[in-house]
Amino acid sequence: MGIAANLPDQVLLEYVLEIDDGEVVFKDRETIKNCWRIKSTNSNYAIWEYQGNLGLLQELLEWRKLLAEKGFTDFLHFYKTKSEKNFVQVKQNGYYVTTWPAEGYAFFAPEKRSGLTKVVEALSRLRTAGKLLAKKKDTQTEYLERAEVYWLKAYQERLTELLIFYCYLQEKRLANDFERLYVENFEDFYERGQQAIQRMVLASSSSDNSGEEGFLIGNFLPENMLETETSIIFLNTAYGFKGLPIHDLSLFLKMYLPLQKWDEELALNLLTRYQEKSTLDNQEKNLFLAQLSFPGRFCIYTQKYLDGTGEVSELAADFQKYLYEIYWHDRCLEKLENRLWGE
Amino acid sequence: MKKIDSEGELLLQPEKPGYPWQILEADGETWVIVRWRDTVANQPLGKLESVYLKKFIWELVAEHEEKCFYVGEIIFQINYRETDAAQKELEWQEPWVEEFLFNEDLFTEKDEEMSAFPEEKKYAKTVFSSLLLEGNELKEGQDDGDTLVEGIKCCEVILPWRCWLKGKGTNETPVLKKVHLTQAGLYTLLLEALIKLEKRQEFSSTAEDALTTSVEEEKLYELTEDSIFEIMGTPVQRAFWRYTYNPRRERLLLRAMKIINLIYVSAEGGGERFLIASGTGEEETVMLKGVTRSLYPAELDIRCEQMKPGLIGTNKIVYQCKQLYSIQREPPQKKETTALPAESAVAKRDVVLNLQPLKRNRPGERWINKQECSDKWRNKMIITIKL
Repeated sequence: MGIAANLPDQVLLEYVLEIDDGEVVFKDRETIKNCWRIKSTNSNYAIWEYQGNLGLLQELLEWRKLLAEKGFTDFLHFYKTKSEKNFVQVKQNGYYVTTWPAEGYAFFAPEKRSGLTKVVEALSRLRTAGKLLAKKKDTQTEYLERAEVYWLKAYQERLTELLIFYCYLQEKRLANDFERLYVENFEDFYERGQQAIQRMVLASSSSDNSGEEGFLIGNFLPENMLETETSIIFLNTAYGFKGLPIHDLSLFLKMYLPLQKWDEELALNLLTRYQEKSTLDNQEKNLFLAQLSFPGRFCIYTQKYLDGTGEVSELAADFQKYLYEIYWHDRCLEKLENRLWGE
Repeated sequence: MKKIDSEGELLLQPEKPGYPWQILEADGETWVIVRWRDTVANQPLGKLESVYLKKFIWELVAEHEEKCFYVGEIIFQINYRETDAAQKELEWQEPWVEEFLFNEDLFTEKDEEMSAFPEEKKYAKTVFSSLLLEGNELKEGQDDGDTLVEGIKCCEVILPWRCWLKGKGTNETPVLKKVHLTQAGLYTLLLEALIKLEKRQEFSSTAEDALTTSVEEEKLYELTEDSIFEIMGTPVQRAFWRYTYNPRRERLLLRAMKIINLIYVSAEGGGERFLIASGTGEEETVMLKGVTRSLYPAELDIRCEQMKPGLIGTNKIVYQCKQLYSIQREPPQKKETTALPAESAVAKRDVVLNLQPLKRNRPGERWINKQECSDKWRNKMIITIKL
C-alpha cells in the first residue's frame, strides 16, 4: 500500500480496515482539506486530520455517534480504533477514519435547486435528532457561555469595527468607489446590524427552550457536501462551535439564496420543508431572522479592504452587486418574517 | 534679482474637501468651491444626463478699503436617470464563499484589535459617470421639468456662498470657472462649482519708483497624495511683514511668511475634484537697495506677474513668477481732503479733555449723590479709614 506523504504511519495501524496491498492512500488536495482517501475493492475510506482542541473533537465524535443512534445518517460513519477510541492522537493532532461513499454522488452544485432542498431536509432531520438527545452537561469545551451570547458579542464587535472605520473615513477625503459606497451605505447597514442584535437579545431572553445546543455543521461550501440521488452527506463537521440547529439553516440560506436572487417562493418552500417535523419556536424564529438580516458580507468586504487583500476595484464591484442584491434580500426577508409570525 | 530654489521640491498638501463650501482668500484673489452631496435617488443611479445653470447671482454687500464682502447664490438643475434594481441581473461569482468566511471569522480569535488604518491612499478608477464642464460651456435655462424626456429625473440644487475679496485694485466680475458633477455612490450625487473672484491690480508708477524692486522666482513644488488633471491657480497668502533698515549699506530688508496654495482639478474621478493644496509656509525676504532715508515704510504694494505654472508628470509643478515690490513712504490719506470726518473730530476733542487733571471725588460722594440713596444719609458724615 502506498502511503501519502504527511499522513503519520501509526494512524492506519490503529484501525482494522479492509485495505488490500497496492492500494493508494492519497490526499485530496483539490477539494477537501486535511483529508486522505483510500480506494479499496470493497470499501472506501476517508482519514481526517483535526487540528485543534482534541477534547472538543472527542465530544464532537460522541455527538455524531449519538445522532447516528437516533437515526441521523447524513454524516459519514466513523470507525473506532482497535482500542475503541474515537480518534488517534499524533502529536497535537487528532486523526479519525470514516466511510466514503462508493459511487453515485457528486459534490453539491450551488445552482441546482434540488440540492438546496436536500440540504434543508437534512438540516431538519439533524434538528429533530438533536432534540431527542438527552441533555448533557458541557464539560469539555471552552465555550462556557451560551452560544447566543457569544453570537451577540461577535456581532456587536463586528459592528463596532465598522463604526470605527466609518468615523475614520469621515475625517478624510474618500479615495475610491469602495470608500464612497461604504460611507453612503454605512448607516443603513449599521441599522440592519443593530436590528439583528435586537432580535438576538429577544432570542436570548426568550422563555422558549429550543433544546440542547448541538455542534454546528458550519461548513456548507460545495466541496464539503456530497449530493446523492436521495440525500446529502456532510463531510467535515469538525467546525467546533455549538449553537442551535437554526444557525445552520440561516447560514446555508444566506450562502445560497443570493444565487437564486432571493427567490421568495423558494425560500418559503425551504422554510416549510425545515418545519415539517416541528415548527420553529420564538427563540428560533428570532435567531433565524437575526442571522439572515445581519450584513455579514458588508463586514467581509470591509475586512478585505482593510487587510489589503483583493483589488479595490473588484471589492467595490462586489459591494455594488451586494447593494443591488439587498433589494431582493429585503423582499424575501419580509415574506419569511410574515410567514414565521403568521401575518 | 532672481531666486531659484535648488533645495529640492517643496511639498503641497491637499486639504480635506469641505462642505458646503471651501474658500481660499489670498492676496488679490479669492477662490470659492461650493459643494453639494446628497442621496437623490430611490433606485440606483444610472446615467448623468446634463447640468444646467439656472442662476448665478452675487452682490457686493460691504466694501472697506482693501477688502469687500460678496454674497451670492448659484442654482443648478441636474438631470439624471435611475436604474431599475428589480431588472438588474446579478452576476455572482461565488457569494457563498464570502458568507462562509464571515461566519468563520466570527469565531476566529483576533490577535490584536484594529486600532489604526493604513495611511496610504487606495485610489482606483471609478466606475461611476461624471461631467466636468467649463463655466462658460454650461447651458442656461430649463425652468421646469416639462420638457424632460421620459425616464429622466431632475433635481434643483441651490448653493449660497459668501466670501471676502482682499487686496488693492478694482473688483473683477466673479467668474464661474468650472462645474463638476459625479455619481459618488449608488444613490448619491456630488456637485462642485469653482468660482473665482479677483482684483485687477493697478500699479501705477509714481515718484517712489526708486523704492521698487522686482524679484523673479522659480520653484518646484510636489503635490502629495493626489495627482493633477489641471492647475487652476497658485494664489499666494502673505502675513507677518517685518522691515529692517541697514543705514550703513542703505538697504531695506523686507521679511514675511508666505504660503503658496494650489487650486487644481484632481485627476482622480468619482469624488471631489476641485481641491486646494497648501504649502507649509516659507519665509519671503526682499532686499531694497539704495534706500537713503530710514523712514519706516507706510505702505507696501506687491504686484505678481505669474507665468502659467508648468506641470511635470501628474504631481510636480514648476512655479515661476515675477514679483514687483513697491514701498510707499507716506500713507495715501495725506493726499486726501484735510477736512476731518466727524469721528476723528470727536477723538481729537477727547484728547484735549484728557489733558486736564482729573477731579477726584470725595469718599462716598458718588454713592451719596445717587438718587435712590435715602435722604437721611445726606446729613451724615462719612469717615474713610485708610489702613
